[in-house]
Amino acid sequence: MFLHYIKYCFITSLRKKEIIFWTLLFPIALSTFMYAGFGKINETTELAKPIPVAVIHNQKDEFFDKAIESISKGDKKIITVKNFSINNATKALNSGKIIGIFYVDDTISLSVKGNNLKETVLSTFLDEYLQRRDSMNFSTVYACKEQLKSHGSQDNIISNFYAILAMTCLFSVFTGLNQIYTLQGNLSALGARRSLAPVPKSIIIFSEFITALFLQFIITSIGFFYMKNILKLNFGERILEIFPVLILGNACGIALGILVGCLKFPRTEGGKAGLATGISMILSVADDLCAPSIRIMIERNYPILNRINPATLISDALYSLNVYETKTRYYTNLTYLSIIAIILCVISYILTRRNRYASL
Amino acid sequence: MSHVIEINNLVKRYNDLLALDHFNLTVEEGEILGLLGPNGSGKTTTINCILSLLTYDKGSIKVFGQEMKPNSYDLKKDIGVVMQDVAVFDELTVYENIDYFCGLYIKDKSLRKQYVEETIDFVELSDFRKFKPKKLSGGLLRRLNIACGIAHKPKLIFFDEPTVAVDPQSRNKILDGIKDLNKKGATIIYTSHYMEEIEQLCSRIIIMDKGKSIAAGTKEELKAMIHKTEKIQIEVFDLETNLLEEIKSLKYFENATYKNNVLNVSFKGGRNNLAHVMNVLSDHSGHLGRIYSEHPTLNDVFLEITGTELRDYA
Amino acid sequence: MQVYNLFLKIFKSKIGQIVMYIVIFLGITMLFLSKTSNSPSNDYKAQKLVVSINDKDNSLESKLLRNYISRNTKKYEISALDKETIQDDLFFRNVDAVIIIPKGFSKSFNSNNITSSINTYTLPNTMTANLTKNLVNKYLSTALSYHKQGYSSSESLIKAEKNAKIHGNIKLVSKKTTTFTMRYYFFSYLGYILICTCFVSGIPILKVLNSKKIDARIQCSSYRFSKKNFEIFLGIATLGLIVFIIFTILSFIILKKDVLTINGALLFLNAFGYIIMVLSLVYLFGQLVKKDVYVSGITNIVALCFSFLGGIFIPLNYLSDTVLKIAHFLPSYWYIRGCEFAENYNSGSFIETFHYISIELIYALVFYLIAVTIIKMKAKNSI
Repeated sequence: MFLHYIKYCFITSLRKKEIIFWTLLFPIALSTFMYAGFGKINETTELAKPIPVAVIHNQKDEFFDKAIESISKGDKKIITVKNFSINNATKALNSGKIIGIFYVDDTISLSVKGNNLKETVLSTFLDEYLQRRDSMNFSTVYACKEQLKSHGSQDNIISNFYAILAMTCLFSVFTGLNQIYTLQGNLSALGARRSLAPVPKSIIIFSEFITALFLQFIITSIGFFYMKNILKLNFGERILEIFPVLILGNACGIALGILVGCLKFPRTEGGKAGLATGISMILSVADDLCAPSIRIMIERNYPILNRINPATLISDALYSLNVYETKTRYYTNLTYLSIIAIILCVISYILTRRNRYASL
Repeated sequence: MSHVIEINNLVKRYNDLLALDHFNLTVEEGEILGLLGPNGSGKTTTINCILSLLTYDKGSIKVFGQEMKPNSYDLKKDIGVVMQDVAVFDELTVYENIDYFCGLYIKDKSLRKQYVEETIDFVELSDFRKFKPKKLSGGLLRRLNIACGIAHKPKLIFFDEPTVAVDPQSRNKILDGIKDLNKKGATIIYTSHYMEEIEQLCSRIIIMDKGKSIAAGTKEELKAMIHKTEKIQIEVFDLETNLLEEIKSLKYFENATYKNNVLNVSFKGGRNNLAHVMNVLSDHSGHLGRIYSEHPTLNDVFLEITGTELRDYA
Repeated sequence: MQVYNLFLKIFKSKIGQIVMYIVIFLGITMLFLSKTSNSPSNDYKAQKLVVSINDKDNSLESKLLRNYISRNTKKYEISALDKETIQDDLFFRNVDAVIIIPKGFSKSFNSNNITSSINTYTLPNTMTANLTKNLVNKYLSTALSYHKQGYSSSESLIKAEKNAKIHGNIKLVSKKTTTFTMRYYFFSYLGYILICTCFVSGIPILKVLNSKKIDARIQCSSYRFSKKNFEIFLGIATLGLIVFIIFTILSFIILKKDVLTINGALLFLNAFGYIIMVLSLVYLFGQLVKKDVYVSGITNIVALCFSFLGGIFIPLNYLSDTVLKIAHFLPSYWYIRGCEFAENYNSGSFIETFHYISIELIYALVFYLIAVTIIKMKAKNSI
């Protein structure tokens, strides 16, 4: 009996193309574009990789050659020296093949094209070389002791993809909304017909909710695996712990959709769909989707908002799994998320349980 | 034997609007009861109250002798409903839709399969099994809508305007089908604002207006309630006066005029009045032209009781 | 003008959605208002790291070190010193490094043993981490060498700071614009928003006009085929013009006199070429889309694809080589190139702008021809 409902709920849900589009294809497309656009941006702008330079000798300078040699060898080399003639070197600098040219004359000078991090690394090297020649001190003391062990991925680009996953979870509102439409006697004739069946409504609601949750979870997981295995994004080492977050996120989304469906205003299906889209987009944008640093701004001024925004909680749970060694914050987020999911589910259950209406 | 449905003093308000005003109704087993009335007269509200989809303000409703509540699942099992609006899943095929709704009532799988097949044959949709509702024409869609409501072989079936926007051919099929269901033992409640349908189909008729039952009975009883006469109009060329006199002497005769080759005769009650007139006119030597006979309709009944035409609302 | 009037009537019903996209557009541009800065100078300046320092030693030595670091970096106040807060700020790149001078630093310095005497929190394997450590290590090494030569601790730290002021001669060969003006952001985002507004309003209209029943009805009427097509063309042109005028007005409101320059004029020309391409694309999708529900899907996919891969959301120089190769096939890429040229134009020939506009127009032609081919194929199939 139960299986009968689940089977047909499954069939109808799978055939709703718009919903599949918004919950599956749209997040995949968005993550692909984002990935193509700046998925590797930090690798080229932040990570310490050998910087290509050219050295033009107008005269000999053994000290400088030695200094260059010391930073262009070994597994932690800072630069790679490319052999260019003066003319070619200038061209290479202009086209971006090399970042800087060192000219060895009476003094050493450096030519660069911009003032970003890579150029700063080169200029700092030059400064240091000159300073050391001045102070005649060539020893190096390692005074700094790093306190952070490398754990997970430190690439903050990943937070964009957390936000996409959170959005995908929240897009379950469309499923919830759609289901409530075919379930409520006062919303559609289909709902009225189903209200007349000799089956307790709670059973129908429950089976539909379970099916929707399962389906949305599969869809979100496909999105997740697409990001992890096809786009090869680094979600850290704790992967299994991600799934409870996704399930709870989906539950929040579906229950929110049911809730919107039961509201007296707006009355039309289009209006309700608009409201559902609006809510899920606002929550996602507050979670930094497409608009960086809003989340931190909220955290500074109204931290409570970040505790009740399911999107932020999802992102933060995924983030804390990746970055922190302990799981305290992950569990905190999970708890908040569960509370929100339970509250939304209970409210939506109370709203849908009713079987008799004052008007149809 | 208790009544299939028994409604006592039902009152239902929508804010200021009194939708049902101390409405009473009893339905006997095996009859086809017609609820006739203009749009907004309370037909659908009555059905929705019986089905306990709507809350109501006063009165009692009993179905199969028991009070009807949202969780009266053993009662709901025997009820079938065909809604005014098509209520099917756009995503499911014809077969899947019927199977889904039948599955809400029938738990046994093989029995359900049998029922679904029978229903598909019954509504003659076997060629469209795999079609999705969007691909069906208006009449076929209505038949699917009916199939979804009756697949579980209910004892009591509500048809709420099942023929709205249906072509005449499909309409006749639907009406024949309903008669068929009734023959197989189902009690049927049928609402419509098409009096021709109600006249053709129903064994008993209740006329509703403004939330009240204003008349009830078989169609003959209803027509007998009013003083309306049968009008006969015949085009006769050069009618002999003796024949006119003869007509005037017929039983139930009320009035007769002859002008511009047109004979107007009216009768009060009686049957076969036209035959009697024709009988007299068979002695007439000249030609007969067009012949009209006008019986009182349910519209006349409605008109006489309420003072407005039934059609004015539609 | 029946068809044209119908076009306008349907357009009116889409105004709500257009307004929504304009609001989004204004939101995005405002967001980037903060990001823009003045035009870059011609002198080279090394990038300053953003560092948060916490001095727990509070000695003369630690104070000198602290001053040295803060003079050479940008300051950031961290809200708490627990590990998770530091990790948060590092992850979201609010700070490049957190440096903590522990208690007992002066003691270790005076005993000439400063190895691992400073605690740092940085992102592993990044240039900023290396630069931070380099900054501290080099300064303290130099100071230590002075200290070993017999200078007092404060003297050696001060001498080391003086030493650190020696800078090499660095030339900025050509100004590479890494920061753009508000005007540039406005016009580059126009590449996104023009697609959104024209798509959500135009495609549904064409869909209605192309729907079998209405198309058949128009064909049955005494309306001449060429006249119908001309009016559809006119309708699309009107749509484009309305949208273009809206954004022209907005540009005057937001950018004020910045638009009234030769650069502004070139940017407008470029945008005009782009909107023709967009309208042609609208015409193409108008033939393909069968249901209203697909319109927003297609709008979003096309707009995001053009924006992320074509350099609208991310500056072209950040895109990887593969993406750049793909980008060459997108009209938005050429639009952005056009914007970059127009924005940086100083003097000389501005023929290059027309170069980009003509590429956009070629795309418009291609999309139009594809649409016509589809219409012809459809007509063949229906007979």
